Amino acid sequence: MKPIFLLLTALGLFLSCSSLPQVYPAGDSAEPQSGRTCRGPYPDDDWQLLHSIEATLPGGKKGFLMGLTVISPSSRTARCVIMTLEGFVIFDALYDKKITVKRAVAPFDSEVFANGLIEDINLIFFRPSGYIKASGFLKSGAAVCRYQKPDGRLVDIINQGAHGWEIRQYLPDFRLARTVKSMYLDDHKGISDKIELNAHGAPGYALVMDLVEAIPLTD
Amino acid sequence: MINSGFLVRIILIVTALMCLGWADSWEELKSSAGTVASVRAGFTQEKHMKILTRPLVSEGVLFFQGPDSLRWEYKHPVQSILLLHNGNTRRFFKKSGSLVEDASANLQSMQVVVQEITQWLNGRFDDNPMFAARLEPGRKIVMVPRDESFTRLIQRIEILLSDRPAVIKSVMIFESEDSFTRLVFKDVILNQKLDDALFRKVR
Repeated sequence: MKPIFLLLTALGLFLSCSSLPQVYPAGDSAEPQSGRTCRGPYPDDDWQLLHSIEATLPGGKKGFLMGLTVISPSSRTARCVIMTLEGFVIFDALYDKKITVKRAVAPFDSEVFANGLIEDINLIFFRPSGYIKASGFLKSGAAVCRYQKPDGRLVDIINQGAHGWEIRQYLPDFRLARTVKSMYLDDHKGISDKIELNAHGAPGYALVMDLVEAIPLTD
Repeated sequence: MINSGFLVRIILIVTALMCLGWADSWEELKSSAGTVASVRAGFTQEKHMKILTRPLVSEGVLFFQGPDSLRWEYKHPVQSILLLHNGNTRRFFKKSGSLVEDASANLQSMQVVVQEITQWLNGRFDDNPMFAARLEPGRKIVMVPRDESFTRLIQRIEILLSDRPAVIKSVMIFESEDSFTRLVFKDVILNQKLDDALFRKVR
């Protein structure tokens, strides 16, 4: 009986340990492709973006909002405004190294919400901070660039070719925390038409962001 | 998720005010309001914010049938429909070609709205305990929240009445010093018979 218990314990421990997908190194000829992948789907210039947002909350309930984001990748600053479809501002915050909430209407008035939102915006619109830990290919053949962030988290930028881009963020213990899919249906100077964000774990949520308007702010 | 009851309340204020007549006194407003049974109109909504390089513009149509049926429909750039009928509120959002119901709507708060709309339709919006209303020269009504905490959401609402009796020209909702919404109404038709299905079905 005892050996079986030990075996089950060992199996449980094994299953609870997460692991990162293997990155297979690319040859020298793949260097330009690797560089492109490491640049990712992130815009270099300043933009004003308007998205319609479908939020799926724990329990499967859906809510619809409008999201206005003004981003400046060079300074890594962002202004984020969430509105109802009728145009009422329910959340307005500025991110410039720290978050300054200008307006927050319940239930969007918690610090947890503000921090989570800015983290999601960082993941979606800004190239990861930190350094490139590895680049190459996944088992599927998709090109990948792995960033190690200063806080211990890891971000995989995966070039899915015609299907767009996928960004996966892992916690320091390698558990998958966020998945972002960026899809391109039309030419918006590198701005994706559709973004799907999945927050894994509990409580999970999902956002589907459809681009309504993209205005370049850089001359 | 969203206190949509609050939003619906504002929409209803706007809609109800469309039924208020051209007048220079509260008494005349109340008198004109009694002549309106239904409203059909197009609208343009401009969202102005300091950070925007140009305002966000939406367009749509609205249908109102007294005492408490409303269809507030955005056509562009994002399609959505808010339906109010027999005390029930539903909101739909167009997604991938089909209309999906917004489950975040706070339906309970609509009961309060339905009670208030009756007052507004009778032109008694100066009775509304939420706002202090004043009638200014040039057929302008200014509504300011009485509750200090409510001013965090809306600082004031300004309604400009049309030359045409029982029609308003525009509404401005000031959320803060650098953010306001402007609604401009057009092609207003009063007292046209409206199909009941407009308020029950999205299509």
